[in-house]
Amino acid sequence: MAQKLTDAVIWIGQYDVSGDHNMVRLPESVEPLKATTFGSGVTTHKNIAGLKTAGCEGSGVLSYGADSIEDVLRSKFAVAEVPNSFMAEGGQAGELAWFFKSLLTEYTPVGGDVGALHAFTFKAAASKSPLVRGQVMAAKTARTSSSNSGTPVQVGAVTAAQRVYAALHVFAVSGTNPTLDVTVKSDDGVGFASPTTRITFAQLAAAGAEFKSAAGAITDDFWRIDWTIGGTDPSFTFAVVLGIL
Amino acid sequence: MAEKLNDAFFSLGGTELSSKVKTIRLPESVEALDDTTMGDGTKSNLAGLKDWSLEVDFVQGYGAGEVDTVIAAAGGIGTIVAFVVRKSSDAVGSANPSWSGTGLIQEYQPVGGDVGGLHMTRLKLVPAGASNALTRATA
Repeated sequence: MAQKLTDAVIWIGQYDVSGDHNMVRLPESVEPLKATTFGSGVTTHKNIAGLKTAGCEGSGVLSYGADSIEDVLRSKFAVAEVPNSFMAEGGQAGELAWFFKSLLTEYTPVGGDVGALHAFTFKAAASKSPLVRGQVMAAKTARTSSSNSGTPVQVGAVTAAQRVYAALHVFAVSGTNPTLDVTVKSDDGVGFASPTTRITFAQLAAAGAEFKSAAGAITDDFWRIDWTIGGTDPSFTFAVVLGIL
Repeated sequence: MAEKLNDAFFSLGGTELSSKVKTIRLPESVEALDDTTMGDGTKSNLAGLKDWSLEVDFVQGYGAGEVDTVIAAAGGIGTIVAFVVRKSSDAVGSANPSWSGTGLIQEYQPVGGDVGGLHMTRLKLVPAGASNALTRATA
């Protein structure tokens, strides 16, 4: 069904920069390699797939100050392997998500035409990462429970040629000596009677982001995010996306 | 007779996506090999290999039968997939020829656009696979 794009979600590392943007693009392409060879009846070129290219670009309203879009882009500029996640419809649990690790290659911290909206642009390219099509497993929200599990989702099994990928974005943290441990688990049934931990993110005590993967073959097809929060009056605002490629 | 294009048929991997299509372009070309030789007063060319590209602009969607779902099911970027295009959803005929073939999904954008704009995406195929030559049919 046709829809207008009004609630795109853009996470760059530990920052939700959706509200700064008025344009985002996530082009993906593959290099076509001309593989045409001699033979009777050859009339048309034939291509095979070369390397893929993934990246993202965006633009929006420029602002300055702590945790402003200019601050975020400057902090990530020329930094490799920054987890980025994108959604088209608000980022709710179960929604399609595309994520990868990127290198911010270009941004505009200042400048434009006289009288025009002071805008930023940025471009990023994939950095040691494919573009993964997955879904939101844990939506962005503040969580305070000491130990909890997300809703199991039947994402699918992982073949020997595939990997399961996950990105953790922690946007805000409060409390005394807060700690967050997040794991990705799988099981062969929705009841999760005997889960296996597939991905363990590094413990976080502050905002941050991480992108990890695990190799197949994994026959389990149900997946769940578990987390443990420690500290005094702790609160972590975080989200997790997961996909199989 | 001149007519407007408002009922084009398009299928990808056997799944019809006509109702999601805003624009279809299927330019076909042939390499022009310069075979001009002494004595010619005008440049001359010999037909080399043919080439084509299929670019389709869609209204993007993520539910059952929607564009992203169909492209993902077909394998996404780097996959070779079959397609069929004709100017009308009417039966194939001399007044409604079809073009078909197999192509490599070379470009695709799963998400993106301007805020408040219609969520669109573009798919590009280049020749690949067993049916890399365009086939024109009138029956």
